[in-house]
Amino acid sequence: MSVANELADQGVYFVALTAALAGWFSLGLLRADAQTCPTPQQGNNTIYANCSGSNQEVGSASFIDASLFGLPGTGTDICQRINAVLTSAGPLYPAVGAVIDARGINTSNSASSGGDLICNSNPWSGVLGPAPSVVLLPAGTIDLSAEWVLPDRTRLIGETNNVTTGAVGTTLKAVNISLPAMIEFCTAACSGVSVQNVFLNGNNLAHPGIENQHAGDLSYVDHVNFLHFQGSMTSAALHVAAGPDTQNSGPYSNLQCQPAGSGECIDFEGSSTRGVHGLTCTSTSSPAACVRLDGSNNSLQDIHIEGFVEGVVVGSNAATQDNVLIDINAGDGQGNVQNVIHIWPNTTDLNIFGLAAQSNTGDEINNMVYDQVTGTTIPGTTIPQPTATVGMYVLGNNIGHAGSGVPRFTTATVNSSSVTPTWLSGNGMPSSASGQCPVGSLYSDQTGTSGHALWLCVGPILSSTWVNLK
Amino acid sequence: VEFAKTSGFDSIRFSLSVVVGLFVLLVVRATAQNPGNNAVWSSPTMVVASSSFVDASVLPDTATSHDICERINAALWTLLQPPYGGAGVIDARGINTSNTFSAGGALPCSHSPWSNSWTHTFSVFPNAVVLLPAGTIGLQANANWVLPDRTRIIGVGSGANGTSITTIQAGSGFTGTMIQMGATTGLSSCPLINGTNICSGVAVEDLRLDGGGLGVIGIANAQSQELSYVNRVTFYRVRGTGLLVGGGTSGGSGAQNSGPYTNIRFEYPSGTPTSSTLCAWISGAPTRGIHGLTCSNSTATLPSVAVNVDSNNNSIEDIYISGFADGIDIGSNANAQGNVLLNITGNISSP
Repeated sequence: MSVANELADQGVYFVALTAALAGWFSLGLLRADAQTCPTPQQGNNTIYANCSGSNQEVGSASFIDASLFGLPGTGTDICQRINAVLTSAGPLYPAVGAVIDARGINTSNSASSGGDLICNSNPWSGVLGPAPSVVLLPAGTIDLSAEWVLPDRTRLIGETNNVTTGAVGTTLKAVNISLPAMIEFCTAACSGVSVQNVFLNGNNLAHPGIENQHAGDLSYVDHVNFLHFQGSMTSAALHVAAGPDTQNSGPYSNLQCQPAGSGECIDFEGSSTRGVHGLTCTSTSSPAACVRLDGSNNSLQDIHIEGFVEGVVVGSNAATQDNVLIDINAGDGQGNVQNVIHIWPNTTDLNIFGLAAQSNTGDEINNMVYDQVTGTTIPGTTIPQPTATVGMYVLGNNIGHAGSGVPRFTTATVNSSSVTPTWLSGNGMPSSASGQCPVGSLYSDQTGTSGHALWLCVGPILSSTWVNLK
Repeated sequence: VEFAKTSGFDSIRFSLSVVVGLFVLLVVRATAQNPGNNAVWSSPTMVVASSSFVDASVLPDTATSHDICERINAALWTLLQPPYGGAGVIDARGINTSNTFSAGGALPCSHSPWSNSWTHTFSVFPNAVVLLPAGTIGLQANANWVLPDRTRIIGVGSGANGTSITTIQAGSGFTGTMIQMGATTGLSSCPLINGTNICSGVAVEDLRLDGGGLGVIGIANAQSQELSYVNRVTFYRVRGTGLLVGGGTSGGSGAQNSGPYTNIRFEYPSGTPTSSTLCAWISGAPTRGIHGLTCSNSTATLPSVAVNVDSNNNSIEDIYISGFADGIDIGSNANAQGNVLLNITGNISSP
């Protein structure tokens, strides 16, 4: 037999053996699957399980690693990969939802430009039917050319946000100036939509970073920065729209905002929400407002403002009622503030607690409260008094009779010229000095001395004095 | 010719080894991995590496002589290497007494993970989210954790004693602060911003700090500002101060706009606190306040104050205090204007 024939025979053996082994292995795998080993699905985490009497590597559906979806290589962008998970025909995306782990996506395995990951499409584009998800985003910057429209029960979680932009934490950057918003919460009534731990770089976008027109209960924004958005009113960096859909959404918490140009930070039109808890607004370009509050039944708490003409503007575009503002403070580190709180005429039942201003130069925070309902202005910082505080300012409802006034009470530091009547108390009779008491104020002598229990401050303003009533 | 003349059995053995080798290569491991990579299935027959997080339990290697802080330190180093780019998630939840140096059922920590006490020499630390395991991490003397800029540590829970939670315990000889958020000097010093060391995004969540009855500080924040917070943390047997925000009597604006400090529990169930044992102290610049705090002292010794508020513009709400002479002292050490207190409850017995 020639060598050639011998080789040919061995080739036959090889092919036959290969086919046999392949069949055997396939059979073995199938048999194992048919017994106890779950078949791994693309993107499954790898865990050990006892299958057919031995520990084997199997798939776990605890999360789906998005870095394995879409085409291999750097031609596929991060949004296509996330979309590929959501629209996959095999494995089919679970109807009950899943955790999509996109943290393994980086510039080595996905499309990038200049060190940034790029995104040219909405990750939820073409998703039919419910697809609840928790999407974990990677550290680094993702350049958005398309708006992200989060559907019902979608939570977006970055690795962390930070104060300055850069390749740390998770940054989403707008690179298309025509985006209607960077992130939109649903297109119809929904719930459970949220964004956490991301840094939004508007890159001078004139539209919102996050817009919520439809998400209600269990929908929130937490630990998010808004940088260089330059839209105002409904195009502010964060826009929460009026209407029943956004009711019970929030809280919108732990936010930081540094707009560009005349950009405003929050346009809050929603009513009966969980409010805004924790916000810092700083600017060097004097935008008109840090927060516009045009909804009712909301709480705004723990807010710091620098460099805006006005801090919180209440009722400038709609009638508002029953809002509570707590711990609002202003500084002039980045620029002056004209009015920390501006109350427009169609505002009722507004409660303000803990209002403060601290000026480095002395007189850069002009007014603590500018109230157009009652015509009250509580002055801010001055050269000799760089710190100003208001413990409480409560505005009630107009009782409906012409000239009957509006219930209003404040504990603001008062003097005769500020004309903000209040109710004081002390041990003993009030000072008899002229021009020291706020006209219209009451004074209670809590020692209970007969005939000196209650006093009234009467004008004129510059020579105001206390008159004993009873 | 020699090959051509081999027997049929030799050919079979050769073919078998080739096929099996290929099969093993293709099915089990298809791509290069780095220690600490997660493994995921790219198809029903192929496992590949993923950089979604770094598993610290196998770093720097699997030798059980490494302590937990050395493992975390090695994972921090990994985050500085490609493809991580200086930020990422470190999963240390897989570290336990079976795979890591342990003593008495605890995981000792001989030096801070954020130090140059191990193999690697850091000039900067990555921005890391560190997931800590259930169990007790024992801080030895000088193992004070000073968290650098943009670092978050997250345990598995902060429940009551004896449950499966993450406990960081001050060991014998430990002094000072258990967890410090940022610094003005050293490796973890905060970035200089207009001449001031300011950190941001530093956070501690879901764990318990056991002071061991020592006069230590649980968490101190005098340098971390925006987006820095403490959430769901229990201070247990901390004889000094549980939570110190600002510089104490020295004040300072280093913690401005930090917080909120939420869902905090301070327990002193037995032993002897001092008259100056404090649940929490806010001083210096305005913060986002404390929202949700239980201060409970069940011992016969009555500390003077549970909470000191010595700064302006803080909201203090949902507070329960038991076993302290004063619940909240406002302005006892410095001016305190424009603060708002909501829903404060005092009780003579522990909850």
